[in-house]
Amino acid sequence: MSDPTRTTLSRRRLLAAAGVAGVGVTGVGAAAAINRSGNGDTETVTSTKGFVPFQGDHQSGIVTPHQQHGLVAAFNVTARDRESLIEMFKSLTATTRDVMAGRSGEVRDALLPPDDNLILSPQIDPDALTITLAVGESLFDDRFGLTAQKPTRLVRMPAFPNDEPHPDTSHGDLLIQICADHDDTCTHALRRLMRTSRKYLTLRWMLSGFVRPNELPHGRTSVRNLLGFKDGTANLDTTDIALMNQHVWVQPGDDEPKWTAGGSYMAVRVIRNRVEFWDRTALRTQELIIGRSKASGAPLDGSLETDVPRYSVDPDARVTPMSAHIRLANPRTTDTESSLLLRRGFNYSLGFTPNGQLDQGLLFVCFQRDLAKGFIAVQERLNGEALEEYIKPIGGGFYFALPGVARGDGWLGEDLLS
Amino acid sequence: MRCTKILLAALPVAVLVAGCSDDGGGGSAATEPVTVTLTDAGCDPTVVSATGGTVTFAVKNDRDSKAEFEILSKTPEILVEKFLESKAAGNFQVNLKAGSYEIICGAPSDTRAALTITGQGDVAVLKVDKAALDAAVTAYTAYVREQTKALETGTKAFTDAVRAGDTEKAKTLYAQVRIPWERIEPVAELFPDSDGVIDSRADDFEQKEADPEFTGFHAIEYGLWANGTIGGAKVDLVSLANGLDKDIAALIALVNGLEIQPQVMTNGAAALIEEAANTKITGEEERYSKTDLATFAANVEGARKVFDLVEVLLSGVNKKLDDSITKDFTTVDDLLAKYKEGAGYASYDKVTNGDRDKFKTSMASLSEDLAQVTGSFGLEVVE
Repeated sequence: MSDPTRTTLSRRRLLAAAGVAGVGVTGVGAAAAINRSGNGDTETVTSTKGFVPFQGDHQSGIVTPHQQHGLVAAFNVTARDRESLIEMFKSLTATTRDVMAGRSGEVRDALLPPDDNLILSPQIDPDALTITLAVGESLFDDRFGLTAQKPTRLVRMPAFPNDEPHPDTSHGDLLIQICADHDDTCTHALRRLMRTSRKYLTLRWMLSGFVRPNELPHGRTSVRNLLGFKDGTANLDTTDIALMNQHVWVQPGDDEPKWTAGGSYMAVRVIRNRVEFWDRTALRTQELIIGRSKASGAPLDGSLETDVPRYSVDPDARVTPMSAHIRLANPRTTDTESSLLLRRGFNYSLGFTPNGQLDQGLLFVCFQRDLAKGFIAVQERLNGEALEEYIKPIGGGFYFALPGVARGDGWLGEDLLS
Repeated sequence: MRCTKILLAALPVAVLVAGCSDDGGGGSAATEPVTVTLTDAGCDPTVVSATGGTVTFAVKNDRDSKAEFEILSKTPEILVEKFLESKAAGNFQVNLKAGSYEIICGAPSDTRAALTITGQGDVAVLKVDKAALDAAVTAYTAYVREQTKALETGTKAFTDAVRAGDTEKAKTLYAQVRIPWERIEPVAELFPDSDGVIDSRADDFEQKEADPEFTGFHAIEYGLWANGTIGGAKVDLVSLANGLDKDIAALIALVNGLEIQPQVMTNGAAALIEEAANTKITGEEERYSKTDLATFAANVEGARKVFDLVEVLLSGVNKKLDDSITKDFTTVDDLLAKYKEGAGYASYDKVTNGDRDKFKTSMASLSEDLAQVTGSFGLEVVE
């Protein structure tokens, strides 16, 4: 028997849908055409507010100014064959283009599930959204015939001495990094992307975080981590293209498969901080462990955050201990210059652990041209550092962020798979 | 109160920004600060001196513009460089060894000050009686020796039972041998390599219990309880027992050769409680044997020992803190007493949720309080 109430409601919904469709066709707000790749292709966006272009030689979300929110979601790929894998990358690319440009989904018959989740309303500001796709070492096993295409330095993240390894919630075939200035923009994008790719991807682990970026001169930003210290002060200047080519982007002619040029090695580490223990540690001890003044962020021999520590005149560690985190991470010698990398992490807060202590820490993310000379070399110097007592790396993985898409009809992973 | 200086090994320089180094701050501000004014001509006065160690500089910029204050070594190297806004004043703490230094006030060509540092260098100001603190360290060293002795005999008895295939006896001895170990754990942790092979938990390894690197007490514990038999398919208990003997002997030699510093003792008390509050309160440390309460109690006893030895000193510098710690220990002891069974403790399964909460809060309170003891004595933790 038919239900008259339901029929009426359905009709009302259909009318509403038609209304939205009208708006959708003409576009919401001021549409803008953006051309970044210089080849005549343009990208159409609903609003230029916070729009970060998708197209370019490199993916966004790497040298893009640090947004206030970010999440990483790692997936196992269940695509049956190479063809399905190509389909997966194509559909992820299409959705990425849409959400980065602030396009909500297509308007459908209201008797159907809606395309967009509407958690951001139909009018979406791009909100500095960036989506970055990176592939894990396991994607290059024998499933898709990609073994020979594996980036030379891509390895499964090993367990470093202070790690508490959780293989089930680390690694993964594919990692999606989503960053924006609001948390819900990231959530919206994640749900759109996952819906697009549900038949190929299953979540392996994910984590979201936040930071409050602090602009420094020369295209750099630093943040405060949950230990209360400035982090990223000595980061690379992302506006310096030559520097980025030297330290971040794989270059044509590198000892790497050809398709990798323009991509970047991505190291992700989930580092739990024992914040209660840290908070009850003497200020002076904290400063000696990190190597910076807690309040100003200045190195111990300087007065400003941007002052560069002069370890060369402090060989006996009278000012900055040899075991200080910043001295080990970046000894500022010619020999260690090759290990410079671009950090782009977030803080996380996940409630609490069974011992009643807060579950907080750092979602460490960094990009580099050479994983062995970059993150791995830095971590090997940090092994045994004084800070280890207060931190516990519990997850993450090593990935390769795909090169960008320069053409309007291009897709992420195209050079790898075609 | 009389202030004494104590020699500390390899104390690096710490610099605190202005406003963070008042008398209540670092515990080492008891020496007179070296006062230097940046005038238009340069430094005033032009000759200054101080005793080696943590030296506080009280610097004022009388100029009409921002100016620089630098301390140079003889080489010359710039050891410290601080900028002060016009008319601003700030206190800086710098650790300096005996020797001659120069101070620049403004430009390098302005009148400099000669700085002479006398004395031994690397000294911090102690706020408690040195002889009494030394006596406490001596007594604590004797306690550590007692525990290493008990660990040595206990380990032998335990591993003998394992080698003999006597599962029940090995299980009984396991909880006992853990006690001396847990009482002095922070001292053992000074040797992370030994600590790693002896006391790692399965979580520290990629393949967890199946990991070939998983050795020591908890690997044997796993074999005895989770596998149930000695010589089970997965765990070769005899070779683990042989390895434990060797590793324990090596660690005991290291610990016995160690000259315990006062801050290792006082901070060790805090570390024991941190450890218990972090990993034992959840029942994850002794997850197979469920003997967590015994090791938890041993951590508390080890911390209590230190507290008993230094309490008279603490009551002299911070009576309130002393009273609070005394109360904290009583709360924890009362809770533990509820679960005493014979010579040991009940299985951790039997601890009610309400009591687990009480353990959490009392241990957190104890952690917060014990973390203040080292600094209250004027001791610095050197990593």
